Amino acid sequence: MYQYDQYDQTIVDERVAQFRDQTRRYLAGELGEDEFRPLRLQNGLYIQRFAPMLRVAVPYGLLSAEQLRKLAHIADTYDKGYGHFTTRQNIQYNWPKLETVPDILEELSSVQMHAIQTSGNCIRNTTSDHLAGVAADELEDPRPYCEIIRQWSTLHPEFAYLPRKFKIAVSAAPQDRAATRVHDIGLHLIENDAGERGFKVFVGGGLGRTPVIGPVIREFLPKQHLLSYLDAILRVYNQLGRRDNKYKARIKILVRETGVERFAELVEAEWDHLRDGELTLPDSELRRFEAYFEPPAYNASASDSADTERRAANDPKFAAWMTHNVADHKVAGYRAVFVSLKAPGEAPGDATGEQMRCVADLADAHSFGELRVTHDQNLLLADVPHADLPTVFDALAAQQLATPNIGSISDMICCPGLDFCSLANAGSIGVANELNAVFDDLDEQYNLGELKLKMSGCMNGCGHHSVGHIGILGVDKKGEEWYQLTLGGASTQDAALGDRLGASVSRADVAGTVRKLVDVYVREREGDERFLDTYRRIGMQPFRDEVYA
Amino acid sequence: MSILRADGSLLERDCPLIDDEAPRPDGPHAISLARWQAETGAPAPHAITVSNDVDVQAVDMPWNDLAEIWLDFPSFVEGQAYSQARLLRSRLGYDGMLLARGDVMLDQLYYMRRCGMDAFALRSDQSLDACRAALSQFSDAYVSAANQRDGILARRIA
Ligand code: SF4
Repeated sequence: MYQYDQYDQTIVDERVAQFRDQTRRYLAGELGEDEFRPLRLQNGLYIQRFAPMLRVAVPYGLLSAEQLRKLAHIADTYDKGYGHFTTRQNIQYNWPKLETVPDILEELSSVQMHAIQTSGNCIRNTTSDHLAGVAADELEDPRPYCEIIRQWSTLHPEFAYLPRKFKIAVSAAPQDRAATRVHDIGLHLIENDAGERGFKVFVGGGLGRTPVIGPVIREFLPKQHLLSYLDAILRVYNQLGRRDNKYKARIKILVRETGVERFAELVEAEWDHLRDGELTLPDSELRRFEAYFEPPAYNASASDSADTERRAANDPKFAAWMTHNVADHKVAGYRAVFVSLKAPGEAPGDATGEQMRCVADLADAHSFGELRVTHDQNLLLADVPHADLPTVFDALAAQQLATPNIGSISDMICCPGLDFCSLANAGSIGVANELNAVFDDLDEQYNLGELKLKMSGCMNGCGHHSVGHIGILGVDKKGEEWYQLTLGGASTQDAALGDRLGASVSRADVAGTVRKLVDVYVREREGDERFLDTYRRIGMQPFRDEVYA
Repeated sequence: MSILRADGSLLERDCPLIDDEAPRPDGPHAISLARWQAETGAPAPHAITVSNDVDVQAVDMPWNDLAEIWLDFPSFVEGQAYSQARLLRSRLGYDGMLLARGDVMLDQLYYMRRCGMDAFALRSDQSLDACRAALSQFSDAYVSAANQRDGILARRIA
């Protein structure tokens, strides 16, 4: 993975010193609440319902075991012993004390981490495919480009006060596991007919109150021009994006109001000036970044282990975990192992300090000392030898990290909702628990196959409800918690926004309603159709009839 | 109101902003961009104000006739003038003074400086010493800027 050089380290260290001073001035009353807000936000610090919330950047979701141990230490020392992994592949702490945040940032910088630009109206952490580097279908590893974007965007002087937050995602595989089409900029690494590599550029996707699937503004951008082109997009947005209305300030609104073609022309006109300038990335520099992401030293003679197969044949629990939480790897004899943070009864995405240390130890012993955070709020050990799977399973199971439910209905995405977030209309964690109670039978879950259930506590959509096969959105009705359901959303290469089922349902009826939706699917499905496929084939009416009968 | 310069000194000069309808005085003064464009043939003023919604690239005027250009931050969250400053410096070749005015506070100074602004009309509640220190808050940066030709990204390549 990327290692800081002296430049990277200096910037992060100086940032810590800067924020320490800003915090001191705020606590001393020299800096008002209004002035402190954008400063703390650009350091990932929100003031939440009960306490500050600190969001720490996990660049493109990649962590070393040492970094995860540090995150565990922070959870234990400065918080209540746990952290919450988010759909942006970051981690949030819900209970730090404001005056200790500079110390936390210093701890982070000691392991090459930071909270720079994890919130605020600036360029946020770039996200990517959690299977980057190990997926058989990828063209090349997208992470070197993510790191290049991270550096370019860090403290970029022109784009620190944008109209609104700005999110970039990069994918290099036909199977889009990074939800790129619902980002402000989505980059698909592709090869053109001449065999050159570059990016297909999507702009203006997004979730939130006006969800949009991003349109293409450039079919092919040679990769050496990545940064100058991003500069051009951001410059157009910074100058023309709306600032009069917070809900119309995202680039998706600018693209819509300007028209995709006109917007693309504006970007191209700006890029004409910038291309071939100093942001051009020569091949030698691309190779330098690529070198940080070289494959680890796989054992060339590794192969699948008969012992592991034997265990699977005799131990149904292990077999279920193998089927659902273990993914194929492009190297023979290796697997990628999902660490489920979706145990029934636990808040989706939460991990205790002890659980984090367990995963860090497993990463060291069985996965070359690295792991990833997925945007479905799980962790992933990407390079585990097949022979080690029983050991890894036993260790994970002992920490409630082996619930064999990846991709199933109980592997739901869920924002913190009313329990922590001051913007929430409704709870989400409680509803998640009720859904888990209704779908507690694992065999039934397996029978239902891939079913992406995503839930947000308000229109901001941090739980990505608009792209859930089943989406659940908390709404406020005269001070009560109600829920709007949508069907048919998807964030992958066939991205789509969910359609509204109908009138919202009360808190008490959410789990029962989902039950009915699932019953319709089971009754109507043909062959091995997923919920999404059945919905696309039969449409909304049968689901409405069942729910509102 | 103090006007801090990029080198840490204070800018002492009298340069009133003249209303579009008022007659222009003899000494140094500032007028709006629109008036400068309208009064063809009149001598260039010492300074003009440019509101943050102006596309500076579309303005065909001899920028370097001006000793100062004043850029506007009606509120610190309105960041359009960062782009205006970069364009004036890097594309339009303006080499006079770029002055930031409005809601100008310590914590924007570093970014403003990097975008090419070199004078800062500070909000009255700002501490001068702290602002001076803020100008050099970071010793290095990734992207090149008006005040640093080679950022880290460019230097690593060189
Ligand atoms: S979706 Fe709404 S309630 Fe949930 S975390 Fe985001 S802002 Fe908070």
